Amino acid sequence: LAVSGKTSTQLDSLASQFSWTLKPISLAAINAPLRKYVTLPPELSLKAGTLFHKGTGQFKNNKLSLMADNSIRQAQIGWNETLIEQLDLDSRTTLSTSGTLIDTGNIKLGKVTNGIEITKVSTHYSYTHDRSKRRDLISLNALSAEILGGNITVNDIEFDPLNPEIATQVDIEALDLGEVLKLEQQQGLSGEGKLSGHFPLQYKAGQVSISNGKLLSLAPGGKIIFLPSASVSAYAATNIGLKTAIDALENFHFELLNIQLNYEPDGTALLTTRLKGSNPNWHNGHPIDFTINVEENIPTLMKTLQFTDKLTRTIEKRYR
Amino acid sequence: ISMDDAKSQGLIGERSNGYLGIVTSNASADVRKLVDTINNKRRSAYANRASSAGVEQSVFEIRMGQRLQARTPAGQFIQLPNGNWQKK
Amino acid sequence: CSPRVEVAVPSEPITINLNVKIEHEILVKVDREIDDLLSENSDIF
Repeated sequence: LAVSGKTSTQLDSLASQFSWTLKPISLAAINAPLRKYVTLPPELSLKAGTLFHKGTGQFKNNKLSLMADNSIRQAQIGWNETLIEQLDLDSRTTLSTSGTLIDTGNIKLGKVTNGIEITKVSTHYSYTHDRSKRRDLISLNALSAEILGGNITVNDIEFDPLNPEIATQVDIEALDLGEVLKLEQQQGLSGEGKLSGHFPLQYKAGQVSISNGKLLSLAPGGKIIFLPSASVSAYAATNIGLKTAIDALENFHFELLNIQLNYEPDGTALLTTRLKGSNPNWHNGHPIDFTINVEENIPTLMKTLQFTDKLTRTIEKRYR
Repeated sequence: ISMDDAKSQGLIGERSNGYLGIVTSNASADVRKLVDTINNKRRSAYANRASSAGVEQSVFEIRMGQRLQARTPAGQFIQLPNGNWQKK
Repeated sequence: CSPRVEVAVPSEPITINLNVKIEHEILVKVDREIDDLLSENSDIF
């Protein structure tokens, strides 16, 4: 740990100032040694990036105060199955004479991948550790990101990192229906269209829940196409209700699609989808009022996506 | 030497394909024998489990690798996709 | 010319209801087999 610094002391007022600058640190290099001094969670691994740090301090009538500037460039961090790439951070840390530590700054994440890809994540944050009141607080403002072809922005959040409880609203703009349907990796299923909306999001005791989220298609609407595999068609032949739905979905053009989204703490997502449209090749395009209720376990979906990502990467490597 | 001892001594570890691998280049003969014996047992177990799950053996092995590496305790070794051995 | 009167037959939309429960069976089946395998021969895992 190479440090350069200087100090000066005024004997009359018994105050001394000092400053220090750290030589840029490679995060990958300190990943293992750092764990000897700081308890880093095992799920976390620092893979790349550089940390720059410099600061000044003052010691006066027995009271210490510090101010430091930190920045991280092009960091890559792993957290279990999640990979964070191109992380940039700029922050200023201050330690007041009363012992309150505040670190505020901006974070930008180029790409976050764990089955689903989230890009251009950016937020302003501040972390406060108030020793006297033994209170820790993190606040996130202007949190935004891009996902599935659309943009999401999250209302300001404030929580105690040691016992996080969050209630906020997520606004979604122009989500790409085609990308959403691709997540299902269902053979023969595709779509076009843009969805916007919002949903209240809660995080408590380690579990996320969404109640009464709303997504609405943007004009002029779009389409859903489902060309079933032989086995699906064979099964549908035995169930007239299913067959009707599948026939209608063969080339379904909609002017309106609205989704009501509920996500329960146990991971079950319930989507009530209402579509208004028609299929030009079915009942000569007679208007259809289509309701699709979808139930799916999202953690299992995420595991499947991570699993197939790994599968395709491994197979690609083997046949390259 | 038992599998658990060899693992805790950092001699062998879980690879990403569901099989054991040798971490140190100068592993002894009995460590190599241990790894081969266990891997052969695993291979036949994977063969029939994969068929009853209705998937290809390579698919089953990849998922097995994920599960075995996830349950590897901190301090033991797992092999990264790029081939390097990393202590969890 | 005589005014043309067109009577639009009120076309009621066809209503379709579909309930879909998505089970990621492949992964769920594989994971179930792995759970049995891990519990039955713990000596080789």
